[in-house]
Amino acid sequence: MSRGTSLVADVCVIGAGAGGAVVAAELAEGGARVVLLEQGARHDPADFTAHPPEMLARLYRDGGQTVTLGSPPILLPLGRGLGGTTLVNSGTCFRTPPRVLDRWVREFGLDGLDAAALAPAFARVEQALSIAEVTPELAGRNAEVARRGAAALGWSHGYLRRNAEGCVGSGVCAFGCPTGAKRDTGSTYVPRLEAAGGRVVTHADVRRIVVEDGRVRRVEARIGATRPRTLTVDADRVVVACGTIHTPLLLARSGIGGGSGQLGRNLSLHPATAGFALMDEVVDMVRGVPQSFYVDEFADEGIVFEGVAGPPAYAAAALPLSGRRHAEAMARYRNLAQFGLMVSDSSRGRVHVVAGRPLIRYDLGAADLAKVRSGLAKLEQLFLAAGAREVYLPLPSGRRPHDARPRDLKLMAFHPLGTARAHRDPALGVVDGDLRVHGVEGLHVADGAVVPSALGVNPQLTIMALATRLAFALLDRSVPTAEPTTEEAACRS
Amino acid sequence: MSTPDGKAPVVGAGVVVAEPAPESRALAARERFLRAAPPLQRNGLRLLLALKRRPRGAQLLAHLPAADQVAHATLALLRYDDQRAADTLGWDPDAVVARGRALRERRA
Repeated sequence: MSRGTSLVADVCVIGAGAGGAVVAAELAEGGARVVLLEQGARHDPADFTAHPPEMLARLYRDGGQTVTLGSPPILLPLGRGLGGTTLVNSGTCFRTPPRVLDRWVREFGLDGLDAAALAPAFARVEQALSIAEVTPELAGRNAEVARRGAAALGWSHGYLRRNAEGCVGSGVCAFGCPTGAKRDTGSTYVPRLEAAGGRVVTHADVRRIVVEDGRVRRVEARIGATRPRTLTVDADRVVVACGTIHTPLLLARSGIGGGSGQLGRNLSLHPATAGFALMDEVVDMVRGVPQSFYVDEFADEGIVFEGVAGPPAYAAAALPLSGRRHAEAMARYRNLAQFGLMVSDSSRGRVHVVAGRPLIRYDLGAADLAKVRSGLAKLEQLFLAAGAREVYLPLPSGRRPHDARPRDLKLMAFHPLGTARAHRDPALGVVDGDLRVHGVEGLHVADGAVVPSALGVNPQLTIMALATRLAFALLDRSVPTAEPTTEEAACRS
Repeated sequence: MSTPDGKAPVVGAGVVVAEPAPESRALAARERFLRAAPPLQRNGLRLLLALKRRPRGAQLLAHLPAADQVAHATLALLRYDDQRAADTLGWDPDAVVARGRALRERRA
């Protein structure tokens, strides 16, 4: 390794996803000298294609092939680069449900995180990302299939709110928006940070956070792929935002945050799966916004249905058939509809470190298995009520939802949370209600790792609001209270 | 046109999807996709794909449902990304991207 580089900052933020980019931009605009370190690259939507394998390799950590160990194994795709997973998610935005926030106050002692306290932070993010409800026209015919089914059954449903402005429905959100319509944090907050004088370093592999005398002092990283060198950032404040899987790894190898025994534990995932339906009409699932519609009739039971769709390559990989049946169903791709379900899980996993890499252990518990079974049965009901000719559930041939075993399930997860959870008591959590690492001055965490429980809804807005609140707390200011627009006032919470 | 049961015809029936052509974009994408996986996983996936493409290997995988599923899903992802397969299903990725960018430019 050649010579090193040193930088000095008021705040060093590690990770440029939903949490890190937001906290970095808000701090820089508030007058702080900020250095943002990102392990991945800066991506340009002008280079994006609509080829899933190409984009998986470019935009996802490990090519989107991160898998949990356990029963059953769960595919856990994570974004990488400026924007993090906001670069490749569906853009769905929910405020944290009030019942979840109530639980945080009650069970985790997080008094400052009630709905009223967080409202200004939510409003600020919603305004920054131009969050708005998808129109029926843009939602496409895949959403219409689900809408028809839900309406026939009398189930509560609606169009989702998303952070995409001027979306034209290219249908490939999960592979990077090729038109730049999606307002991921890499294309919104990072430019704000840079305009405010903040510095961004990509391809920065942070190795250690140095703490001396109980206070954070600096961050040490390796930068540069071809000629690696060291980078040291001297800062009195450090915000870790590497994501739920990698934040506990960095803290652990820095010898920080282990006091409670909770670091790396309490992993919730929102296990998810999806079914297909063969319709008489041409659906063209990929035309429109893939995740544009939800059914929340069973949200109180921990089951939420959300749209999912994609181009043929994506559908072929997800279609739960094999051999000739798979080929025949794919030949009818234009008539296929798809819809997903996710469960608000009570199972908890753990992130370990093996040879410097995360090893994620997660077993689906009995209560969550019951939710998945129930969700699959309801998904079939939804498709049939919409007029499906055939329904393809992600189960082995002959297996029905009610007798599905964990090993029968084909699960994915997109919302890892909780591995450095917030708790008022240092014996029970890694950070406190202000997201400060217990026992270390100047060190905070601002990503999904701090979220102490499953949310039951997509978490990006929660993470962004927590990051906004943290930034203004570090600036010793209140989050400005913006006059809500009509849409914000109507925001479903 | 209608089917005997009076319902509308399904579109695109009868498509057979083959391996991507050598030198194709899909084949290059396959390599990049496999290279992106963590080392142990990458080697395991290459082994599974090799088995899945051979009759006796496929028979062996049939006894290992989880491994078979991984191999099947990966092969399907790669095969249906090939332009010949996508064309028959009404999906032209380059045209979708071009149309989207043109629409956005017109609105700007």
